[in-house]
Amino acid sequence: MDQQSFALPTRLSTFVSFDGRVILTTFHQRPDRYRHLELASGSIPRIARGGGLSYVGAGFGAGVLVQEMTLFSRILAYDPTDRLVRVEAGARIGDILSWALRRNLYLPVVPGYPAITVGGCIAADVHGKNPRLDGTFREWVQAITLYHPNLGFIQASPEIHGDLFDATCGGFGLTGIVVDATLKLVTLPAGSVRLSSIRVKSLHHGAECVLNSAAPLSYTWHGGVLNPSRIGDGLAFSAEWEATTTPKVAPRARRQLTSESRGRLPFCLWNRLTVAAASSAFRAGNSGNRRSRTISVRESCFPFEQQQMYHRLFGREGFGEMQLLIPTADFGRFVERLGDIIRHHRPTITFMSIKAFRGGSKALTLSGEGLLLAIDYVRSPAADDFESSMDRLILDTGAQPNVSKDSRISGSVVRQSLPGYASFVENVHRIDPKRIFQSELARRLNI
Amino acid sequence: MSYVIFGAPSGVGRYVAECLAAAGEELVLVSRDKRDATAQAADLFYRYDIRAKAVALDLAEDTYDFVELDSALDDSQNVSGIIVTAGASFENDSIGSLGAAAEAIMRINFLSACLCIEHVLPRILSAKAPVIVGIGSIAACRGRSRNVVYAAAKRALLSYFESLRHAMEGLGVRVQFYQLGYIDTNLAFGQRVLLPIASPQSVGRKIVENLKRRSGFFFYPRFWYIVCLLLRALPWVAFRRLKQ
Repeated sequence: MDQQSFALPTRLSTFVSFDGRVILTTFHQRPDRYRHLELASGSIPRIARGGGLSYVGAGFGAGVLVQEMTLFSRILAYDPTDRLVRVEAGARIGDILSWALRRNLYLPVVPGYPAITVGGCIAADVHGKNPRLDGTFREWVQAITLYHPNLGFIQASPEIHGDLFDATCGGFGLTGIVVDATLKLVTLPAGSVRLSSIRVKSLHHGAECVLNSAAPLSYTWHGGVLNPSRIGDGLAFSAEWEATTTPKVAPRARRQLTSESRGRLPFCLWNRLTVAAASSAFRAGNSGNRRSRTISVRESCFPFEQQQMYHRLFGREGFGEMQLLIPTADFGRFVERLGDIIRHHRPTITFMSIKAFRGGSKALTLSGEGLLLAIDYVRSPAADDFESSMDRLILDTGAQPNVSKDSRISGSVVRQSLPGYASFVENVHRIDPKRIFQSELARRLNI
Repeated sequence: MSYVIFGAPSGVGRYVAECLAAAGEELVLVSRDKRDATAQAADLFYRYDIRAKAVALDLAEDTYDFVELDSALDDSQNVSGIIVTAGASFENDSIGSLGAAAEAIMRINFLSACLCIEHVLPRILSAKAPVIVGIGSIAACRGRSRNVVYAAAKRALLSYFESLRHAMEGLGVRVQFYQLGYIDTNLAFGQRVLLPIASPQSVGRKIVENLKRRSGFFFYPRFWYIVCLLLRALPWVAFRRLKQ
């Protein structure tokens, strides 16, 4: 197969996962009309790609035709009575949020980067800043239109073709191309957000804070681990809506970070000393007068939009991230074992974060309730051993790994730890028996 | 005022429509596939609060059904502009391999454009500041062994616009024609190019900015004027070596 075999202009492009771990070159198309989606791709498998910010190679694969959906970014319908907006899947979530904010409406669940597309949010069933309160993205999707060569364009919702809807929300594009989605909006409670932080001394303390918080935004930040005896020293953030006479306006958006631009630095600048210094600076920057401050709604939704340097400093080598859902009752035991693992392997952890979580995924993403612990770290030989130990910890404690964050986790670990894995695989093979839709992620997880 | 855009939902047409919508203009969006034009009309309505109508018209066909277009134009406020951005190319457009696609390419890029303009022209003659805009290509600068029919069609279109400008002189209708270099649309996607690629957004902005200005023939990006001059002046002994 070469580029000239396709009906739509096709080129060879090199794709990289946001964490920098997966890099490969494959066929790339940019459809901009509905009939382009209907063009056959021959025997070659395909996958839809959104903003290209996936950590894990969900939007590309070796020998897979990548169909970039970013030109399908239009608003198709809006019902102000029921506060429903139907948008094409390539629309960036930040653009939809801006559009909604101008109408005093709001999307309760958005991921950390505004350039992530609506299709990407559905595919990874992303969560927002308080998933225990708001659930995951699928709870705010009323219906989707999916395209599959065998099924054509098909509408799915929890009521109609519910199994297709369930397998698509959190299905990483393996059931077909999400063409559009009808999203539920809510009335914007206030024009600004009051963000407050308190100091926490441990992961346990942080977990208590998020569990006891009913704020619309609630998470913790725990600085890098320089001294393993002080694991968990950090801040617990919470936010409340604030009615101000003039709503706080978000700072001018910086140029959007991409997976490619993130890795421009040829080396990693995060090490024990820089992590310790940055952690101290971050802690100091959120204390004193800045312990409580008013920010725009957009800033509260997309904290990384203004802090791109954090990811850039990992450089070309990239970084590792794990996000694990831990049953609340087992959190203490988990943290104890985590401390042992960190003390033993001494990985360079740049930060950890905790959120309280609730999700109802029936696909390849997290489901159930518990505490969501994220760990970012520098990739190194020590980190390889740390990762292996963490895999054993996941299996021992019944934690669930978020496969949308971890680009190296194996199919075997996921099969044993994600409750929806077996039924999802069965569903995908029923919906797409010829496995037309494939990706690096799907192959790694043996789907 | 309102504008009719042929080839509105994709490429340069999409961003021309967006810029006009942002300026509050009413639009008639013509596309081969009604689904695309309908989606675009809805988007422009919800984002910019303007009236936009979707019309299906396949410029590759050898007969045209203008009923839907006429109906949309009848409903519109005084139509003051015709913008033809529709265009297409195909992979094996080279000497010795021209097939049925060649005819379609000729129609889309030249003949249909002329006939659509002819059809709508009487409606704009009474408008306040009527304008007709066409899109050409630097491929038409000098014939080469690739993009054979596409380049020929665009050169024919250039000639048609020269005639149109001549005919409209004195009638108050301004005629603007853009010869575009490499633009980041599906026409250039996947092609190895030696010079910078411009964004379709910038082309859309430029076309809309110029709508109130005089008639003229423009290159965009402007450095293509120099490139085309050099290409035309290049002696055959050198030109024949340019295969890319």
